[in-house]
Amino acid sequence: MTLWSTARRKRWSLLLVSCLAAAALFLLVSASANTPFFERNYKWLLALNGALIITLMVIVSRQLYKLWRSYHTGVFGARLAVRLMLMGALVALLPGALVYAVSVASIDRSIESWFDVRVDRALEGGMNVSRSTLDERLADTVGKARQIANHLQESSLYYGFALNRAAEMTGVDEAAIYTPVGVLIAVGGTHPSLATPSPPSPKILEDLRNRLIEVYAKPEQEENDLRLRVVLPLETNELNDAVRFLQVIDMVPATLAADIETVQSGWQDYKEISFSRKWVKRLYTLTLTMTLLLTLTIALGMAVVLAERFAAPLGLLAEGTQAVAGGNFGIRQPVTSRDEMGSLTESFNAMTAQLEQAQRERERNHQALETTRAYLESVLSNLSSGVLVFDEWLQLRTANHSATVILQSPLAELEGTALTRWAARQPALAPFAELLIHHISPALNEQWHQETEIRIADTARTLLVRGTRLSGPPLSYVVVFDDVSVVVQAQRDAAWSEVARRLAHEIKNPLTPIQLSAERLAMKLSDKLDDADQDVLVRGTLTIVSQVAAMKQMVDDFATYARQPRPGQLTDFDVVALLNEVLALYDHLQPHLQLILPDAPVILHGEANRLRQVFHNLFQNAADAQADNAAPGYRVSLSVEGEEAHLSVCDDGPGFTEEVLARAFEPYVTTKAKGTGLGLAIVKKIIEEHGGRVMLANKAPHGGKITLVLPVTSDVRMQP
Amino acid sequence: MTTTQPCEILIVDDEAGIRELLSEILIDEGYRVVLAENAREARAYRQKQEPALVLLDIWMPDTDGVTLLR
Repeated sequence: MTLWSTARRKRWSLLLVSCLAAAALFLLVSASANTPFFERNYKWLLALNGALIITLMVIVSRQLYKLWRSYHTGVFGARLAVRLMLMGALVALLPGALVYAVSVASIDRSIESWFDVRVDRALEGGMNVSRSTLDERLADTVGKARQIANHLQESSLYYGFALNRAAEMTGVDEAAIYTPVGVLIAVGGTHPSLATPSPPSPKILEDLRNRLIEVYAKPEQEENDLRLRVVLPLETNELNDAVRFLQVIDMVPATLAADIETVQSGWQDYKEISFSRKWVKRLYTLTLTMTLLLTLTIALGMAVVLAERFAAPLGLLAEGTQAVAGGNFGIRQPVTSRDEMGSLTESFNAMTAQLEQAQRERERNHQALETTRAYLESVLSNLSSGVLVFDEWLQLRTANHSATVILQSPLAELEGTALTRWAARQPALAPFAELLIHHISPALNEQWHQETEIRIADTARTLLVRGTRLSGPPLSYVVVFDDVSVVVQAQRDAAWSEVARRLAHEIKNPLTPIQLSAERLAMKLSDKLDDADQDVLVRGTLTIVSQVAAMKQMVDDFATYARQPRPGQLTDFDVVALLNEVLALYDHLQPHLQLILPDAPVILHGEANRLRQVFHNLFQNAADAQADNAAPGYRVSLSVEGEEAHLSVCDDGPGFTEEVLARAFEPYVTTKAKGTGLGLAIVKKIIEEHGGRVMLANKAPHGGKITLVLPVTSDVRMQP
Repeated sequence: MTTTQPCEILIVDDEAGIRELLSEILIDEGYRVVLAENAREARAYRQKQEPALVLLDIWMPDTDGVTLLR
């Protein structure tokens, strides 16, 4: 914005040069009025004016060049400034040109009018009249002089006397006789100027004596008098052979002399002016042109300055608006004038102030919104429920942390992916996506919820899924789901515990009397029956007793399962030794058993007796699974990984069905023809009480694999 | 069976079937049997006499056997 910063300096220099130029122009114009002093210095003044005008022009053209550049580089306000400048220049140019044209024309006409033909002729006529009058008088005087000379020659009288007489007779003012060297010999006449004789100049006498001229006759201006001088040589005679000259002076009357003088000087002046009128015209035209140029240049300079001054606030406003457009609302432009531009600037300031306030307000709102959003986000991410939000095309928009954890898939990768394409992107989520599609698509307007079982990462999970549509555009759906596996499991466990407890009480109670009665029957009747009946009795009694024992065993299993957990005898024991001890009881499995045990003892803290029961259950299950298998296989391995002991028991049986995998740990789920279905339920209970976990899986090509993970740390507390 | 003065046995059980079966067996064997349905009755009898033996059901609706024993 250099256009505006140096404007002040430019303005001052322009003003200064303009003043100088105006002064110089004034001098020039004064000089045109023919004052002798200025006439002498006219050329210098002209040069000075020219120099000033050139300086001004340079200044103004620099201004124009700057304006032109800012016009072309698109500086804001330059366009307006150029326009204003052009208008200003036009306003100055038109009247200036008009005045100039009129002035030049009138100069021409007035100067020409001085040299009018009639005036010319009148002056010429006057001049001729005065000249002819003078000539006539001169001729008359010459005549008189000749008369005197003749008279002098005829008379033999003394010169003085004869001269006086002849002069009086002819009536000349003065008649005198001179020697060739100009010595006065005699004088006479009506008005002889004896006091101040005016002899003819030696040159006249010389010319006459040499006969170069016959008669000298000229009018002469002497002080205020116009006199006619006539000189001629006197004829010599015998009497007087000396060369003498006669001079006759006749005074022209004063009025006539004055008239002649006037006519002559007027004529002379006129001739002079007439001679130099072209030059005068050129002079006046030059002065006018200078004036015009100066005026125009100053006008142009002023126009530029004014235009810039007018456009400067626009430039400031433009800067301001550009800053506002760039997002900076802190701009306040100084109000420099009290006109519309000033009030516009004030309005601009008010506007930016409002904008700034609005922006601050918006930022505050944004911050508040952001806080709310962050709050919601933290609520969402801390929520144990998984939350998914879909847009109307079923594309995932939001997924919280819990959703990722529950589904064990990186949901962030699926953001923006439609549900229908989930299966392709992450096959593990296919069942879940299918469930959502099924529920979201048809029931658009209703809340729905479903408890469903889905395999996630090889583990069956029970999910409670609820969904609804969010009202209002844009249409979106929210799905909230919880992993209720643990809850459901706990509920089932509690239910089964209750069943087991009741069974234990209700069934076990009658068993004792039944067994007692049977034994009593056998004892009482043993010696009162014949052999055949005795045999029936014994067999019947045995059946009753053995079945009752079986039932008791079953009820005891229930009791074990349903038993409230209690801290038993907690000891540190070597789980390797315990395994070997239990395996010793499964002699018949040995040929098919692959055993991988660590060399060092693995010390666990817990109830060895209950773990023994766990191992029994596992081996029994493995054996039962392969009861019909001709080539059974067992693989038992124990390893320590970090602070956990991993014990896995594999078999080559048929493996587990999906159903079993999902519910193997629930009571009464079994694959066996015989069995209470409590085995794995008890295993799970005991292992969990030891702070461990149980995992079921199938192994390739077929067979089941059950893995126990138990903490090795000695500081195991019984889990409730 | 060898005693002339048979011993008195107190049977405490809430189940009528068990009470009766036990008393039948024991009477058969020649004992005197007193029956109590619950802890309250058992205590009442205990106030009057001291039985030679008490057969106590551990698990009863009102009071469990162990508590009664104490």
